[in-house]
Amino acid sequence: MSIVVDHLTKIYRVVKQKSIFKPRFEQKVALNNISFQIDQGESVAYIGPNGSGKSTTIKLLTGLLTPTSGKVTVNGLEPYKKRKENARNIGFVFGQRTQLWWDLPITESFDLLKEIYRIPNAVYKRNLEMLFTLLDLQGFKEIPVRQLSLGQRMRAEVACAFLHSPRIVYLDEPTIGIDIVTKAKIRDFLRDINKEEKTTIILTSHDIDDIETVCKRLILIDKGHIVYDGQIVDFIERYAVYKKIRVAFKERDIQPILIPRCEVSRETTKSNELIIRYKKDEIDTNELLNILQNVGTISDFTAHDDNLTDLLKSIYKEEI
Amino acid sequence: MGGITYVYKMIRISLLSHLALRSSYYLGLFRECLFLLLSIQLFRTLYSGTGTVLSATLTETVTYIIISKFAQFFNMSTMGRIQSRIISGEIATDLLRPVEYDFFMLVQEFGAWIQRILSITFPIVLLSLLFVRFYPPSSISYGLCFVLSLLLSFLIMFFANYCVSLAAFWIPYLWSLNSVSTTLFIILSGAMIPLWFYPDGIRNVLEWLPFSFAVYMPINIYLGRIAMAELPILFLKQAVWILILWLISRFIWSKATKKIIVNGG
Repeated sequence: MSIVVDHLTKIYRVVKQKSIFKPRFEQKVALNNISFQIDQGESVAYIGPNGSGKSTTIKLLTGLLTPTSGKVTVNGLEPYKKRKENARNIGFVFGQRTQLWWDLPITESFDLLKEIYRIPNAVYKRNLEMLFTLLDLQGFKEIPVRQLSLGQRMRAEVACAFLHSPRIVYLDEPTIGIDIVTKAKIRDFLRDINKEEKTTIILTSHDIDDIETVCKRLILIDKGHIVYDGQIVDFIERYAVYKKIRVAFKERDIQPILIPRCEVSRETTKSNELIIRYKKDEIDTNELLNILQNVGTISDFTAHDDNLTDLLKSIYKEEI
Repeated sequence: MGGITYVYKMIRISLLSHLALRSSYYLGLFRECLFLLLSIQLFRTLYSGTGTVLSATLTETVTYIIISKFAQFFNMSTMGRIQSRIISGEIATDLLRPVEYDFFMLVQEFGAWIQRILSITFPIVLLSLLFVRFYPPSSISYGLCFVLSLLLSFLIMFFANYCVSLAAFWIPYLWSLNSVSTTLFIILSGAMIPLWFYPDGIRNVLEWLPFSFAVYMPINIYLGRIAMAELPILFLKQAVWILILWLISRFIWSKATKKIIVNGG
């Protein structure tokens, strides 16, 4: 089962000027001729800044939108033509939207999903057991959803998405607003189920740790174009051209100085530290340290290459 | 088709989530009893004050008022639920389920209806047995026909409500539309005042509308006021109305989903 996106374009018609008689419309290009392919069992991070076309893509893949031109096929079906058939094979977690019955314990909602997806008894029993263990739901299965903490509820939401052994699961910000321990639990679960059940995972998240734990592949989209599509490790290698050093001085109140081709900044809380970011191939670190010794007496010093967070930040700021 | 267990689970879920809100349940029951008492008293006064012969006896009217409590399908929760989901955009997740949306909502509403009959109608009818004189079904077969007709009524009212709720795809603030339509449904169906009290001209018109088939007709069957031979025609009319309303709702639905799917809501 694979997803094939072929020269996909989506243009929205938005109301530009409201009028009683004839509203005027404006065209807004949300996706501009994008193509990619995702094979069964892949784990893909689909990311981009707000308004880049992420959720438009997810809507097209799930059949909630029809393309303006181009084509999407999921396991040979075009989801917007066969939405219900496609729905059988997918699961989803959409941010803060709930699939659970508010006044009832989670088990009641699971039971209903069993009917909606017509899950055979044996499969249901097996999946339920697995999900209860992996997501650690046992402790609160009798409590009405409205009394659960956000973290408990999100774990239950994730379980909902996997109950019917879907082949593809879309997760849109599944860890938003959740504490670190629960986040880690959800991440590990996603990584494991992707490995063991070969469920395709498509994750959009602004949380870099989510992406790095769960996904191997990265599709980066901006303004309706694909900016990068490939392995996360390759991405870091290719774009991590910056180095960042943090220098602490014995003196207080160090003023940021101007160094050519470097970006110098200072955190407001630490007046004795400077942070310098520069391109690895343009500046020699030793030379830089020589310059810095003129500023004051260096007491401490750390250096690291750009990580995924820094890379995405700079891409969003259009540096690359 | 696993439809039966699905319906059973929906009824169970409706009952359970209702029981979770116990205090609001008792308040609702109290309110219903109060209204029942008031309207019975109103009709008693009316009957004692008038010398003319009315088209139904007092006991028939009282029976009507009590039995109309089986028609617990005004203020359907479907309406509010669909509308809030449309406005919040959560309808998208419903579209990603492998079931027809109207069936999904129908089952849910059916569960809620059964739950209301069990938790509101039965207590009221039992209480009335102690304090008020009213008729049982005029015969066993009329009783059974009443149940069948009531089921069809439920479908009529469900699709009528469903059509109204889909308006949320075009109109963002629906509160006034809802209260207007609900009030209209109640008046037109004869849920509050039996249609036999309405002027002939108006009643003749109302008897052709789907709403009278939702409350007025079933209770007339219960009371045995309609000849057995006419019942098949009546059921047929109910069925035709269900079909018409269902087709209308399908039409609105396809327009609405096309609007979302092509234009992105």
